[in-house]
Amino acid sequence: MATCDTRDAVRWLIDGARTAQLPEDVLQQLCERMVACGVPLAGASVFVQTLHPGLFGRCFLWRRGLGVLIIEFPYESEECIALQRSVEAGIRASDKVLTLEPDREDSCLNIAKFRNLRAKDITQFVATPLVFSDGEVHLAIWSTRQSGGLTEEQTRGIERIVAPLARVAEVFALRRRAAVLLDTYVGRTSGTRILAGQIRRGQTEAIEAAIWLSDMRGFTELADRIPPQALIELLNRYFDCQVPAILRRGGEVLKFMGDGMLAVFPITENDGGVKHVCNAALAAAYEARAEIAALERAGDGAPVRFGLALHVGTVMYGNIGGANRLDFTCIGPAVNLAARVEKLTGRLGRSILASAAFASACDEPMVSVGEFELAGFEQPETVFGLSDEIGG
Amino acid sequence: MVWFTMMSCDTGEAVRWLLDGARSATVAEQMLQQLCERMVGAGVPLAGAGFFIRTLYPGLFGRSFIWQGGVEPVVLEFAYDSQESRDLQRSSEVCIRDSAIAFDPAQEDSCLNLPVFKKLHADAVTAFLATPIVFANGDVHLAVWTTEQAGGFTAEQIRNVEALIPPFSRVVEIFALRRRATVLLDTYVGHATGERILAGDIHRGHTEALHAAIWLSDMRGFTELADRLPTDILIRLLNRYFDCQIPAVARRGGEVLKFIGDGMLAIFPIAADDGDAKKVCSEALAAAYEARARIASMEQSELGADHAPVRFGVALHVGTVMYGNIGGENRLDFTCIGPAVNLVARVEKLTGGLGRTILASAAFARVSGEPLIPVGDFVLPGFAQPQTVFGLRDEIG
Repeated sequence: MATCDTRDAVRWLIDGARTAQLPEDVLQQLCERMVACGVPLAGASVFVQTLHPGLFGRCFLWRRGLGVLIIEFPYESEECIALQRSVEAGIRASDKVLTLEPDREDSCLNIAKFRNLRAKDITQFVATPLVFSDGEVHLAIWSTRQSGGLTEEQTRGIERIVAPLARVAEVFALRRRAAVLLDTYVGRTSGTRILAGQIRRGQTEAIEAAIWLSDMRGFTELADRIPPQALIELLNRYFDCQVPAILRRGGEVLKFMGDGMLAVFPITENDGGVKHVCNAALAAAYEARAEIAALERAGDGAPVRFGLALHVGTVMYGNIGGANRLDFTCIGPAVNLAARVEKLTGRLGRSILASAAFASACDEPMVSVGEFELAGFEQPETVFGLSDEIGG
Repeated sequence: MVWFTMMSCDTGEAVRWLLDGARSATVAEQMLQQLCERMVGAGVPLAGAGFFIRTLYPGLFGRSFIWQGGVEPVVLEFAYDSQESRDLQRSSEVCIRDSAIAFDPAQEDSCLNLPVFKKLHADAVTAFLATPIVFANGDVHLAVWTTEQAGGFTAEQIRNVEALIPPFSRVVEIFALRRRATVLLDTYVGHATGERILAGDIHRGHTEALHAAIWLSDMRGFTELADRLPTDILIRLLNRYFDCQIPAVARRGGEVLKFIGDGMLAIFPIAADDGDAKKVCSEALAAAYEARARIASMEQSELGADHAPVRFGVALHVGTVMYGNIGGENRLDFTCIGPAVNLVARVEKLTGGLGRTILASAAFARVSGEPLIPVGDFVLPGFAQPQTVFGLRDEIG
């Protein structure tokens, strides 16, 4: 009676689902096409495991009339362990469609986040493996409210779209993987530039930016004294105090150097100009200082202290390196100035210092802490501190 | 109708194989070979096939994959700024269209000068068929199919080739994206480290103790140069300076972990059973010799006449480092830390004062078995006892 021919949806997928920009659009448009051609779907979810520092995987959940919800599964969450088990048990063994009992206790449907999918009146779930070209298995689950479940023809309609859907899911997952890897190890702004084609040496450009250079007071002495594993834990906690504060305010972490960290806050017209960006960098500095003040050193419980220099100026930003091993970083006299001001923090007993250029660019009044001869700079540089820090 | 049956072709099986992700192939050239063999088996009289894709690569504009009958498929790489790359760039708009186009090899057509066509050109070829490969994001690349059949491809054969193009495009895209991730990590993180990350080592807490020879180098007087030289010249200098070191390190099994301005940290991993420790240290030392020679002969002209020769210092040590992911939130560094890294940094700082280019720790001198000579005992922070530091016979402090 109800014919269902998903071949049009298949062609659309094989063509790369090019009317969709994002994976959630692919699922939405696919489900709408399937419903239109006679597959009475109530919901559909696609779960893809990801290579990501914090996420085990992502699930795209479509419900008829409600659009697509994206659920992220943090690494080592209970759901992800349950998911992994279900994928392994239920799907890996099978290379084709698997019908799940809506009431079975051990099915993937018991995962809390999937409860939405277990809406009322669901008469059948169908699970299909999405096998990537390297053999990795991911998962799609389809549900219906049709009494008696799906007909054989409707099930075949779903079967036909599984392989093309796997290809499109793989393309989207791999595109995202490249972006995530660059976000993780190079930084988001740099990564975006690299993916846009800026991957050749010599591709450097002058940008205006607020510059952040920080290090941990007494780190070298600590590194010699405490076990490496404890040192790594301390470093991770220490960077946790700074990285989110920077990223949330538009900054980009360019480099870690042991305990040292170099970040920039690029100034663009849309960012409200130099004043806005310097205010944001200073706010990040306050936040990092507060977070670090609450840290205790591993082993001896002593407080962790840090030093941070803020400056604003022109840096050369881009690819530097040899052969095919590159660094996407920034260099220039402005970075050198920040490094020299940072070295003063220990001597002056202050956490946050700023150059004259930075101090005059931000709204908050900063106090001069003196004039210093800095190597490489002809004029003495007036260095500024915060009014709530007392040197000594 | 007997004639029609004989000539009919059905590439349905090849389409299904592509839709399933061409899982019997692990690299793109293998995928092309297996596809072409399937197409020939299904009645498409291919003599050759190839495709060209632009890549995201530090040194390459794009790559071509060429299959010709019984011989192994080949991969052609086109460097940036090569004539071929310029030709490819210029003619891609003209020669790549929305649908398949046939080229007669006897006709004059500038598209036939494209490397993909030229490579597939043979006297017996009767027809070229060019088809677009359209990626999901809209990027357009090119595939070319040839036959030696008299009269060229039949209309049915062309239809069959065209039917293959969308699933073929998905698979080409998938192979290209997989390679992209590898190349990006090779470029910005390092090859061996990149392999670990792709294998799933992308979480903090994934750190392991690794035995390795450690290399730390920097350019003598760089800070002073950085303040004085215009930034574009400084960048050119740095790039050429790293060119003197990175190939020397990489060719001998070393992995560049980090650049710190002019500084460079690299490791040469040693097998878990330590069996190759002596050889690894010898390789690291050979890399240091090569880098020293290359840096000594760096052309000065580009940097301005007033320039003293570039000098550098490198310290070598062997020990255990903690290797893995360190960082904050989702912004990580895959690097190594530990007292062994601190030691190499302190030895490196001695190179300037001692007027030597290459220095080694006592552990390195012992494990390498090279005839290094002691240059003195030094009190180094973090070590209770003075440390003996070694130098080379051919350097006089």
